[in-house]
Amino acid sequence: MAEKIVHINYVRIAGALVLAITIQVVLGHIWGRAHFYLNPLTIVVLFAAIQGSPIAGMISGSLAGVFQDSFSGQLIGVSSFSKTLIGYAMGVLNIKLVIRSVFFLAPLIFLASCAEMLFAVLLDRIVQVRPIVTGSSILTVACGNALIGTTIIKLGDQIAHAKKK
Amino acid sequence: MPLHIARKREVILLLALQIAHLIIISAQVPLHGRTTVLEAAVFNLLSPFQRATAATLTGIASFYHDYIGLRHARTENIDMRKRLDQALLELNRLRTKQQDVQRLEQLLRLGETLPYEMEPARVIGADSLNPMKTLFINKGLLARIRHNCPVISPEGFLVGRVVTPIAPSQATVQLLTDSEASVGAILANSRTYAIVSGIGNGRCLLRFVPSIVDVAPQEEVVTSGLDQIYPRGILIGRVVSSLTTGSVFKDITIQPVITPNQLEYVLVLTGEKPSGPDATANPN
Repeated sequence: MAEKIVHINYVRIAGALVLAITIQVVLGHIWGRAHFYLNPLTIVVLFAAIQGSPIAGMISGSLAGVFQDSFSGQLIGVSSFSKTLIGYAMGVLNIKLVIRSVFFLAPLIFLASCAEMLFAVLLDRIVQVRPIVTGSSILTVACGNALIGTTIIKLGDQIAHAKKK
Repeated sequence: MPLHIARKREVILLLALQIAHLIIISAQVPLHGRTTVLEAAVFNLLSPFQRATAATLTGIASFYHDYIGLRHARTENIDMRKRLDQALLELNRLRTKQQDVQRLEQLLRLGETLPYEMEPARVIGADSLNPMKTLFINKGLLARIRHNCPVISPEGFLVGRVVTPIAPSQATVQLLTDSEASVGAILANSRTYAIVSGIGNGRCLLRFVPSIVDVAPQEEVVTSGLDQIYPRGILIGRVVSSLTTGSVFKDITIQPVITPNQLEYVLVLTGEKPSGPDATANPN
């Protein structure tokens, strides 16, 4: 299997994370139930992992987690832990499998989102803190992430392809 | 850098990050319900940003709602103006109707008090050349209105008499202000008989009052009944001026009580009411 070394633009990742947290905050203000259907920060982490590398996934996961925990009132580190793990796993998986098909990408993002939230719930349970996500919201957020994430990643692919041409 | 070394570095970085996260989490686990220093620090650090975000979003939302509200207010204002115009039209229509009803009630009351058969009629027009000459009413032969029937106002003041032409449902009324009209009259105080003649300008002359009779301004002039047309005692007008010119009779001007161009309804006296028990039992 071919492996590639990708140079990561961390400024872009940081910008994308700021944009994602802004979208999350604004959506939350406009529609109180927005966080039940989408997690833009997870999408950025998965995007960085798939378009970049495992390190990009980890770094973005850590930063995204800190952002999310800070803004959600959760214990800081819970989301970071789970997002870092998912970012890394997704990055490694992308290197091994070269995920590009929509029919593969969407379920993978769905599963990654579910796993990320389940990790967070597990950590909350361990430290005996009430989790902020519920079973049904895990599914709805994972669906939303799969839909929007797949679209964004495919758009990113097309833009990169167009630039190469 | 060889790939396996890079991979090892990734794993080491992952472990380092996760250990760091676990340490951070451990430092925040609430003990006995107290807030940890890290929680407080993060809260203090982020609260201005959250306040600013909330204020900005609230401001934008408020501006948007105000704008939408303003647009709605404008549309609503136009709609309300239309409805107000319609309501005013309706109000005016109802006022007119109420006034009509009041006048008709007045006519009805007058009809009950006077000993004459009466036919209420609406004024539908006037002489276009001289409105002090004739009126047209919406009742005619079908309502038993005949030539020389006296016509009075709803208040009971003399208006004039019916003259030809008379149609089945329309009739002409000669006003007492017409220059060709004459009415047998009597001065209310001095009880002096005279004749009221129209002069065509809205006023009338009281003729054939001897110079020796004292006539006071504002003295009332009523019908005498001697002309065999108008019943006795209907108020015609009041004396405006009385001049003694050296001749046998005085020059007296009277102001009729009615104002012809303000009349909307009139009563036509079609005959005397039948009196007595027989008449009540069988009016025909």
